Amino acid sequence: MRKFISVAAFAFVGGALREALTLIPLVGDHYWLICTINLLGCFLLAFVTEGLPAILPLSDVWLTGLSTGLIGSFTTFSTFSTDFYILLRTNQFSWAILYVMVSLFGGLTCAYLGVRLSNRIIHKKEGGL
Amino acid sequence: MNLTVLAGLGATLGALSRFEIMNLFKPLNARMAIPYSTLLINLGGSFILGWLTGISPTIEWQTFLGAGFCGGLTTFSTWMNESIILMKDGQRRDGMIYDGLSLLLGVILAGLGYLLGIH
Repeated sequence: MRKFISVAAFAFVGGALREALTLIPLVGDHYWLICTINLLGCFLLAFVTEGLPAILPLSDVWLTGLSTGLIGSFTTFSTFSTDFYILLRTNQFSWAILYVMVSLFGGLTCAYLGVRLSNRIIHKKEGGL
Repeated sequence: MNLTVLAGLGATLGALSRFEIMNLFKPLNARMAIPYSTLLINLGGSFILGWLTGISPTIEWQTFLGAGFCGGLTTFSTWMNESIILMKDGQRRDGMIYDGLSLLLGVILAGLGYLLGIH
């Protein structure tokens, strides 16, 4: 039950934050904003699930809220695939391919970097530092 | 109502649905190589958002259900992290199948939803 509330509260923040960013008129193209949000989230999720618990003694309730709630809501797959479809539909094939490639390989790279950073933190901690 | 608040409220509903679906699928997921629960959630959300984009409702509904609910329900970060874990664990093929299915079926379902919405 406490996890449920934690996910709900953090999800509100994640979704509201994403929307607030898209509402800033100075932030450029919608596609690249969503892409940036998604890539940032990939890195943060890896860090929150592995590295963060090694530095901060956070309970499961907090960690689930941060990962499933905050970051899960901040990033979005549905906008990604709908944008991909709209780009294809409007014949912007090169942009469509570029958008998917940057999202996919960027996302994998960011998640990998998050895992690497977490491993380094865990390793350092175990090494007595 | 303020659009940011609407998106937040929708995201809460979406994320709680994802949380419950994930819990429900946990026993099934443990026996599968590919995390089908995330895949199913992401594909379902893509279909709903495609449909919503097709019917183009008021900005409030679009924000609450689209950016909010669908955005909160689906997750890009979990997909990529699960994929990296698969590849790291030597299941490179499963990781690539997972990525390919997500990409291909995601765009197909978003498109189907969109076409259903505009007609």
